[in-house]
Amino acid sequence: MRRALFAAVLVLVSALLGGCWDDRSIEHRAIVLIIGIDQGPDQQLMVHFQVPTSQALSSLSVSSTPSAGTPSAYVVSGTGRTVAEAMTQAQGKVSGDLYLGQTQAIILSSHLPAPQFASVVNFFARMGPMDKTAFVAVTPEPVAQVMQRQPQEGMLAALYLNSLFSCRRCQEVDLTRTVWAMEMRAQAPVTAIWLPLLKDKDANYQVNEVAIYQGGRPVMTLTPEQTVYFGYMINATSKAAMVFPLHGSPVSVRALSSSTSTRVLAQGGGLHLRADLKVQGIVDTLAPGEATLANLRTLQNEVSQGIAIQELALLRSMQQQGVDPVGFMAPYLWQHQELTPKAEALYRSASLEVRVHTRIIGVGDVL
Amino acid sequence: MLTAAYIASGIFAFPRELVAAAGPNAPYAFLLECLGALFGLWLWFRVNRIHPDGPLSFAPDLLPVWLAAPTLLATLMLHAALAIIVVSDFAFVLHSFFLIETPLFVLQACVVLVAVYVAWFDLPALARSVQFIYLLAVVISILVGLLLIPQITSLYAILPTPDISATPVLLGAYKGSYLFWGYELTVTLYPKLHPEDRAKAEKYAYRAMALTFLFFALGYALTMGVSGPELVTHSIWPGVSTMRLVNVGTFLINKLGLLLVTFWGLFVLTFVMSRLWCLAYDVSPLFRKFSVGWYRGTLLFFGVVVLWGTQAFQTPVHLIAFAQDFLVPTVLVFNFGMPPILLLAGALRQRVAIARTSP
Repeated sequence: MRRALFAAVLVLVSALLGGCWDDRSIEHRAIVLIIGIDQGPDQQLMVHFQVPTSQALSSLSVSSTPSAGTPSAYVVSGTGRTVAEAMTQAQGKVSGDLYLGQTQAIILSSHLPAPQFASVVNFFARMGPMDKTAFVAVTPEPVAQVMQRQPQEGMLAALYLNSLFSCRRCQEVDLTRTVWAMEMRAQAPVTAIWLPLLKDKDANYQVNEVAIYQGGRPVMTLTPEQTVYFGYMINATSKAAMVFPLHGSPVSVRALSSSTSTRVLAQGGGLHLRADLKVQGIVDTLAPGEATLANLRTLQNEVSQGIAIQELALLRSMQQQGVDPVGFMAPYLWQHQELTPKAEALYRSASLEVRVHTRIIGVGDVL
Repeated sequence: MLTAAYIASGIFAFPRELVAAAGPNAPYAFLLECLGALFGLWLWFRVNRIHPDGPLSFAPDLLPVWLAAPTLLATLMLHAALAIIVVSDFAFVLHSFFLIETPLFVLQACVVLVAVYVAWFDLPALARSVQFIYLLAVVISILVGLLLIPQITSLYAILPTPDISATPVLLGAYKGSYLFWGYELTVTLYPKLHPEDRAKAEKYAYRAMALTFLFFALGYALTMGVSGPELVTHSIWPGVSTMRLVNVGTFLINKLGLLLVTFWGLFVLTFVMSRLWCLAYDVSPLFRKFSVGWYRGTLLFFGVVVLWGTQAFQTPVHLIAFAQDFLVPTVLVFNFGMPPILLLAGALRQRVAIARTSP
């Protein structure tokens, strides 16, 4: 009896000691779904927190859309020299506790100066309770405006972005970037950070470009076409269609997957960077009777050559800027850490080679 | 029980120091670290064989009293220090990722209280708890860890370099040696074994240690492959940071990786309760009659000492500095310096005894 009582007391004490310090009921939490960070006045950051309304939140839990006309979310903003300072200011404007544990997306302004960008990355790296799997994107437009857009009738922006970035094979190029990926790249030497660019197109989101960051600032922006080729290089392109002439008629090949391996070879005093791409595709458009072995062979060579030329041009432009978002140098520098201080110079002066091997694996049901 | 007494010492920090010091030589450094731990365990088993019936802390049959007293003090301080840093580390993890507003003291007190509670009923309760908790936590860790495989992007960081360099290997093994702190607990456990089971127990201990090597090798591969070397060396708890990526959106508990980290708390619990138990038994030779009451009294006393000791660390940075600057060399000297001295003392005593009995 005494033992049982003693055990009960100990269990009770353990439970009570845990206390309620961190306890917040859901009605006292302002659950942040999107964090937007813009440039504020006087070298400050303007941070926006998008919080769903309680109606929208309850409709989320039953997988329905909130009724049209009623706002599904509100935005609270604050300014400060750091995200934390801005958050403190924003906290004063909302009754509930701004809770970052369920943040789905972070939208950064592409106009953020390098020190501010670095400070933002640092904040998210140190923010223990925040999810490292939240998606990150940049936008050249005012961030608050981008956050408040409702891309599809009644659908929360956070849900849209979540759906967009969660489905890896839904888009032409999988441009998913998470807080963790950004943090990981920020620590690596030479390796640049790439982030999807969120643009406005007819009151909808358009995500088909990539911004490449080096040292906290965007060094270059890839066009939608370059983004597709960049996607091949990082194994993220899956649906891109390429059109080639065959006997005077256009032939369309849709690449289903790509697999790239990169290698760095020491050559003389410099480096030789080689990328081997294996692309698999199916023929979408080909005149009836044209699906012969000879034509498919020709087509495979055409696709390989076409991709190789574009990839080489893209790699050269990135090399000229001294950015390596593909990550050629990381394995080499890991093995040769003494070369890290000279890494950028080595990368800039390296020779480049792209080898593409294409396999047509389908022609549909027509010979 | 022996494995449970060391598995928590480095699970949160591994493989930060190893990678930072050894770079691409880290796999070799890890191998050396494992071999070092096996050798250390072998050395303590040799000591056990010449001194099988009582705790090492006060061994007048091996050492003269003037030497046995400082040995006792060193052993007690070591066990207490290990418990303190493991409790502190886990409390920091909880505080950083889960319960940011809960005072650290409360988190530390919860761990110590539960550990005292389990150890209160002595070895059977301790052993049964370890038997249940340890295997469960290992199996769940491996299963959840496997979910990270698709996220491996830095495969190059896992593979060992063909250019082996001795200095980084030695430095990495030295700085990362905290991974197996705690196996010297075997000295206190040994007398509790039936003499006929001792040889078998040694074999099991070696096998369990080999399995722990595999467990940590898997952890190394996943952490390095997923987070990459730069992030690993910059993270305070690389394993925890990596586990945070296991997020299953459609599952009831989406943050599955973080849930696993709480399971690692079970490793911490087994570590702390075995160490408190060990502390209570290590002082037992000082009492003429070591009753249950005395055992529980000393258990409570050391629980308070551990809790008090944890207050010395304000942040994980303080903890890392203490562990790396003071505890790593101290434990190394203890584990590899003490057994040879005791073995030598044992051999000398035996020779003197033989000389006395021979005509």
